[in-house]
Amino acid sequence: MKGAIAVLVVICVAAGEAAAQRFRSGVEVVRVDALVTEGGRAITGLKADDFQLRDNGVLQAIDSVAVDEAPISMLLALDTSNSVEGPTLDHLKQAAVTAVDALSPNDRVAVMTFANAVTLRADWSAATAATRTAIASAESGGATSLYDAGYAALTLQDSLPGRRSYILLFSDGGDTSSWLPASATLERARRSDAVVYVVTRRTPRPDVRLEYRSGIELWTPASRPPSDSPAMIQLAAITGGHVVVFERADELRAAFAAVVSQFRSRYLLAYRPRDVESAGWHSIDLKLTRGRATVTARRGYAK
Amino acid sequence: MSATLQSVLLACAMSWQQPAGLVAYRHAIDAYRDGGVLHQEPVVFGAEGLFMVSRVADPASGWAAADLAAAVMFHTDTALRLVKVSSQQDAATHVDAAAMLLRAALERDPARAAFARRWRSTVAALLHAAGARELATRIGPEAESKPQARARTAFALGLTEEIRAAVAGPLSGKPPKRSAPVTAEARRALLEAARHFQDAVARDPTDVEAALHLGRILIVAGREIDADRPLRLAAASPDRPVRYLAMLFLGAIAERQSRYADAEGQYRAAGEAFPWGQSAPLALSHVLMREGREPEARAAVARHFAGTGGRVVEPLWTYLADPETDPGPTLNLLRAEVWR
Repeated sequence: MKGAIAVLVVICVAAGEAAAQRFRSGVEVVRVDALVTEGGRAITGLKADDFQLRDNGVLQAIDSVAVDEAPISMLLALDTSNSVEGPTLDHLKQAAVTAVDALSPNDRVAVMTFANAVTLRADWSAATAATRTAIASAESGGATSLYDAGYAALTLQDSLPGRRSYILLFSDGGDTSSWLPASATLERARRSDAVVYVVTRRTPRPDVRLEYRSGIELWTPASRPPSDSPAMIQLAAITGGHVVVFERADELRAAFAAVVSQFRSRYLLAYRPRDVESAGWHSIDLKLTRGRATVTARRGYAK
Repeated sequence: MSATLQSVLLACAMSWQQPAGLVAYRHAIDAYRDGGVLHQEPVVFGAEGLFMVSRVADPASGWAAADLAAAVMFHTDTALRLVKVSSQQDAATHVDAAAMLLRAALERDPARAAFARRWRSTVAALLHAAGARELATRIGPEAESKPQARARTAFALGLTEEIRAAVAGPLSGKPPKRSAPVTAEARRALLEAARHFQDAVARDPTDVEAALHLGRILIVAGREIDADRPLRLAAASPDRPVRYLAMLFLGAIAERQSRYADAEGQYRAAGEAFPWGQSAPLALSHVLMREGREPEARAAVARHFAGTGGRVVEPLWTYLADPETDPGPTLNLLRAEVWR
């Protein structure tokens, strides 16, 4: 496995971003899904005292830290547009099944494919033969509604409480047929608990053409600071995920397996926000109290 | 459906003089509208069948324009299938039937002119591509006045410029400063496109496609106030794809201006006008999210996935399509336009 993973280029997105999950039960608890790495390897065994977390700049007390305890809800969002055909589609299906097989009995999965149309092939359930059949039934063809698919995936997160939400988004190109602009999908990500891992054939580049068919930007520049970063890198960064770049289709299985393995290496921190305004955007700054390891988590959460 | 439908149509063709034949034919067309798919095997439909179609096309038949349009697509699909198996003689009967029914639909409801235009250009291109050039000529020219013909020329020129602007696109990955990112080249093309579409609307005020494109160009050019009038003209059109897109664009204007309730209303109306689209439910969900109505935002997406049953056809995907070079998506749209 290590050899296979070595061929992948893993782009670590901006550190200090944490996936925050909020549950309203009297006193609100914010949960932050975070990955700690050093030299490309996940660091495990850390305790609450090892982390320093600020909510809108205010230092918070971390109530608990868990690894691999909360069940996983994984949504596979798979690009099946024209460019994903023949052997590439076969490898993609095998990779998706590999990811599903890596789940535990308590975990849940949903399967979405997208070309022009975004299709929910399997709704949330434990991994079953029906899940694998749904993957096998995917056919390629059409343009790429990447932003529409990203938005739909983030919106349709598993509604069962107390779970870690992950999206494994595979795409081999840019958007060509969405109504929604990238900004809409990114704003959805800021308001979602899910962590997005993007698996793509090439390093995402800034969009250099009209990137969505309507051509109409729905978010005015004033609402968000401008960024030169490509949308898929931003999507992973905002949610505390990663971008995984593969070169050959036969690397996909290893890539998907590595991603699911990384899900299980992530920490789930919980805290009750104190001394911060309730409403609005909450920036989260998560660091280690010592050491030089990198913490990857979401930038914050919206209330 | 395949074997049953084939036998039904054969029965129709054999027994056109009898009321039962017409009933069976009506049943076949209704099944096509509901099922959205055609039989698997080509259907032979001879001169007797064509005579029956002429009875259906007669104003006294009681068939509404929507029914006739469905029959047009039924025979179109059959003809295209027959052409693929080199049965051009049999296909010709269905092309003639479709053309006859289209004329009848237009007589019943002149507002179906945009549908008729799409059908002519798309089916002619498909027949040409299949090597059935003689069949393509049977479709016949569009019946239009001189101002209408000039308006269509202006529309075609405008569309060429609009496509040029879309391809030119933004210069960099920076977020747009205006309603859409445009390069200098794209801006020039947009201005040209707007000029042609304005010309088309001036020559033929009933040309709702030109009004739709003019409205979208004006949004992209940052002239949202000017875009409102042509888009409202298009949104009042009985042509469902045009109405759908016009409402989406009006919703986008409202959303950009933070008039979320107005945007929600437009997106909901778009979804009602054309229920098989993908953009309207996602646009609705997005604006609900902006309003903080998360459960409703999720429900809008979930309802879309549960409700379309795999029949997703989005008019936006053919908005800039040229049926003559890429007729497949437009054919899908034509089919969806007769679904119920």
